Amino acid sequence: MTIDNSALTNSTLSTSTESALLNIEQVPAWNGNKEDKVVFSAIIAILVIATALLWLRHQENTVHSIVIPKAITQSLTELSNAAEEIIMMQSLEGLQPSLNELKELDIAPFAPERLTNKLDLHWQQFHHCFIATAPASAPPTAAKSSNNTPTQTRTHYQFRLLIDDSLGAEDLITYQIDWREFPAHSLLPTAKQNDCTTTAPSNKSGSTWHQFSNLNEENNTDVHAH
Amino acid sequence: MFTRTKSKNNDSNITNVSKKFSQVLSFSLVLFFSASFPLKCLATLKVGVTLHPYYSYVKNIVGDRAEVMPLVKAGFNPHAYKLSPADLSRLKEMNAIVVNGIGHDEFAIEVLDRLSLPNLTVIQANESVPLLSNPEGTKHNPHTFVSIDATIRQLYTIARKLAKLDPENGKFFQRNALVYAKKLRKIKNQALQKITSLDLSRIRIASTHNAYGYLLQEFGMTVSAVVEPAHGVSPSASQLQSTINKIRKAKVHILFTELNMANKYIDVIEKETQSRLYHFSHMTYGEYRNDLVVEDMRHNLTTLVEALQYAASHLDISTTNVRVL
Repeated sequence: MTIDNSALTNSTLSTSTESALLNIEQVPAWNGNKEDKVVFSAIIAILVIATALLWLRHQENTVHSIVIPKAITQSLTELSNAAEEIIMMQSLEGLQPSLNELKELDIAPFAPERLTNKLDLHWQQFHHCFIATAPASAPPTAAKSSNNTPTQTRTHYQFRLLIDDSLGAEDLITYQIDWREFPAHSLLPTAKQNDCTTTAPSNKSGSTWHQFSNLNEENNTDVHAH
Repeated sequence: MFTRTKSKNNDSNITNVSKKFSQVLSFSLVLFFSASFPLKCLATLKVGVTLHPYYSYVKNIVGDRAEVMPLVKAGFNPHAYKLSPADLSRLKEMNAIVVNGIGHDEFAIEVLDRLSLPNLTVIQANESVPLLSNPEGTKHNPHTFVSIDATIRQLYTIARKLAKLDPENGKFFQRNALVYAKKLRKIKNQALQKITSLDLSRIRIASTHNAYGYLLQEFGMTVSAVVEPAHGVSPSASQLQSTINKIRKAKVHILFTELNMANKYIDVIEKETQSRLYHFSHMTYGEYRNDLVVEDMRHNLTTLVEALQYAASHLDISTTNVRVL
């Protein structure tokens, strides 16, 4: 008895080929549309997330500084020097100079201004608080026609020096210097004792005090983070 | 004879004893001084400075009670300098360093930011100076050392910071700062006396270097135009023409330039614009000197007075001519 091997083999093959043919997966022709959409969406998502994160991070670190107007940098420098000198007089010589004494000692910016083209400050003293008002009539005149400096709007300025004679950290007498501005059309503000408190409310015109940084003050509102 | 020999022996004994005593005394003195001197050396503050004016400031504040060490040897250009290994080893020796910190000593600030030197106190001299800034407040004019009031402000900051580091000498430092400030203010007052009567309101000023803003604002003046595109950089032909136009437009009467700065363009500008040229010291040249600031401030203010007197008289003449016409 002989087995027809070739017939067996052919029938097995035809069965397996048939079943294999039945299970063939139909792959559509690649046209790139779907992949492009996925990749594009992923890129957009990454960019949006990165932008949002960067924006949030930037917001945390952004430091908003209040730029001191050029018209008052010199007066602030003089006031800052005077503050140091007053506290040195107090700590080294035990003197507590009054406004009149400061004027007599010719200490700027308390002493009368000799130059007509500089801010003329009018001072008032309330105990350890000195307040000056600079009327708008005397901005630095050379700046008016300056090409590379912005045109200076005529503004009233007010300066405040607060001296705290209760010894602070490391036996240092502390002081604080603030300034604020008022538009020229507003009435020239009159200094009041109430202006000497650091928690004093804003003036009617809405002008707020800007603290000028100094060595003794750790929390400067001059530069603040948001 | 015997007696004489004995007395001779006695004498020599006495001499030996006194010799030994003097030896012991001198040895103990040497011991005492050698023991105390290093202690004193260790206790002396070593204060570094980055720029010439700060050497003068610190030297006048500390006197002989601290050592003042320039970070870089004299003769360097602060605008284009990179610290050498020798500078770095000097930096490591310092207890404190006084810096401008707002743009004139970037060569040091960059290194100080990168290095970790926990025993070094960085004193920001301009910490409490109201600065002239760009409208955004991001860049500042770093030439505070050319002005008297801004110099005084820096002196007080430095003295106060050094007093914290060396409390024993703190009051000495602060008194010296006051004395030095008084000396500088005297120079300013002398200049003020000479210009008080002048009408400065119409005088227009230009400069070849944006270094004199702080000095001029002390006298109520501002700079109408800065000639060069940058410090030490000569303008191109087109920039020169635009500068001349700018000066003409601004009607500048006086032009301030740097001391010892030979610049052929300046002569052209002076001729073309009919303005008068004057030289100011920038105070960052030559050897480190104790008296540099006082001497150069005096020079600058004498120059300023001379320039303002010229401009005021020139204005008077032109006004008179206009009236006559």
